[in-house]
Amino acid sequence: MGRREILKAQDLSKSYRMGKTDVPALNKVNLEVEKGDFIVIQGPSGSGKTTLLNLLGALDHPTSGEVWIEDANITRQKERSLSQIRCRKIGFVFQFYNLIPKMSALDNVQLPMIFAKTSKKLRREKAENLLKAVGLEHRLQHNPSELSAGEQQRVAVARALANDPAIVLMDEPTGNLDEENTQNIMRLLERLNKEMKQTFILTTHNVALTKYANKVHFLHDGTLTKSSKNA
Amino acid sequence: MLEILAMALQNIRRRAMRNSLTVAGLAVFVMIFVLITSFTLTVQSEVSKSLSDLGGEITLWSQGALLPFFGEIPENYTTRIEQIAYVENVSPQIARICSVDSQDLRLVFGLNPSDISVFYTYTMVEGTMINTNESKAVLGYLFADFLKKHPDDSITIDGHVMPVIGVFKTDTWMDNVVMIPFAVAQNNFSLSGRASIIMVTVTDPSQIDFVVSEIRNEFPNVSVSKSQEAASRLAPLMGSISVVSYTFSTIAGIACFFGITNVMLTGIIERSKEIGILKALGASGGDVTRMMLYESASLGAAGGLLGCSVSIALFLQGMLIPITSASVIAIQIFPEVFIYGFTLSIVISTVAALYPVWRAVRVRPHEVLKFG
Repeated sequence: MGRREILKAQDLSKSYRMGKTDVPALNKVNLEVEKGDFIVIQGPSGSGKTTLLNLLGALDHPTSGEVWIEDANITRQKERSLSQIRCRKIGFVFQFYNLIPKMSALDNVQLPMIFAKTSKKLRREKAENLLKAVGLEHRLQHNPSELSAGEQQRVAVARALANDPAIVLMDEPTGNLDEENTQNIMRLLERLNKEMKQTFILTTHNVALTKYANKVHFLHDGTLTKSSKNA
Repeated sequence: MLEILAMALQNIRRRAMRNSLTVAGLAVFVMIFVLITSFTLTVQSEVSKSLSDLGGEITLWSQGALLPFFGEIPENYTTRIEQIAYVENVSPQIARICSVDSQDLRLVFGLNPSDISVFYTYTMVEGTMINTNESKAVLGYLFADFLKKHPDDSITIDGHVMPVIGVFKTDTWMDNVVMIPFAVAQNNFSLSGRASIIMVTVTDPSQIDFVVSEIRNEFPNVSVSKSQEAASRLAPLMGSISVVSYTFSTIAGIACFFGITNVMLTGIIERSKEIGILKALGASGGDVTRMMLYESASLGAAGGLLGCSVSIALFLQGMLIPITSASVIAIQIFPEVFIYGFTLSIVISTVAALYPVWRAVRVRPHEVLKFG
């Protein structure tokens, strides 16, 4: 891996067994991500976006190919090591937020830090700062059910940043939001990318979101067919 | 670790109703265990105490009798036992369950008057102890209170009317019995030449095993034991009580085990997405295992505490075992039974959670999070 590369996928393939047939979901995907990148992977439904993020995020194993995150080949790690990698190097933002119900926004943001064994004082302080950074300092003690969709996704973004991950993977983060909230979230991500040099990989079917990225990839039928660079 | 425990407790609070019911189920199990075990131990303890209250150091009774008091052995064994070295006193005694003044199932003892003070410690509440072989009776003070009988009254034992000449007190279960002369008991109960048990004391306590051995050699068809060991010789009765008791406890434990497994499994299915989220956020299999085992162990501890508390409250209210229509014994509190009950509650709930935990650890985040 190069000096600035923090993630690299090489010939990444994934197929699923359906009865007696192997159905390919990803086909020899190659991807290089440098620190501070804001990458948007655009593709229609069923193109393999979620599968790709699952492999990059150590949530699933590829059929073939390899993924490195900061010099660690995560395709050759055991589950115990993978959980550590997910905990410390990767942040996740899902389409449906996936916050823990009946846990306050503050507690949800502290969760990854519990698994990273961060001290209670530092955990709370950092969670408050992150929620402040996403504009939710007035919603610390609210449960997800008491937050709007946009606010829930902002909590999810704050949670993804909790352990200062090398990279944040976002699977259709605006897919469940209206236009206004979509713009708000994307502007927030843009700001975090510029101010904190946080690396993001975002998948979406929405072509309009590619304008926020400095690198754009297109995924079609499991193949990264084309890429372009905005900046 | 404390954070994981805090999360486990938070999870319990989030499902308050279901977990309350689980705790209630565990508490019921602990209560069943504590009550049944205490009942069994109380019965064993009382029987053991009763035998030792009988006095004597060695007891002979009919082999195979359900209870030693109610078998029959030849009275003339006493003559042969008296010839064994180190034997001090030999006392044939009769015990019978009779109707006394229309009270069924009363225990009547027949003893030689001269043996009473040798084998029993008592004080007279009223009147005098029997000191001849005349047809007279003395009553334990509890039974006398129940019958409202005093010296100079009379009682009817299985149709035989006898004057009451005294009321005694031993502070043992014998305070519920009627005592009559041995010869009168033999005559009234048609036990001529026979006794229920024979009690023996020895001159030198260090020779008691020798005397027991000699008696066993002399009478191979009779049960012989030291009084302290008598309770343990009461198999199969005590064994049967224990088996029935522990069977009930085990059934309750198994029901509880499967109940908790079912609740935890249902919880895993409902919480699979949540577990997937935790794993995606970096929770290891160990973190998930600890969290869920803490949850189940906490439920076990809560159930154990509740069960023990309610049991203690019941005991303090007075849990009584009726012996006859007029006499009862209180179930005793055995601290170790509560400790076992509490521990069992935690162990059952924890072990019952192992399979659900295994399932939880195998939850694959990308599968449960795929559809939101």
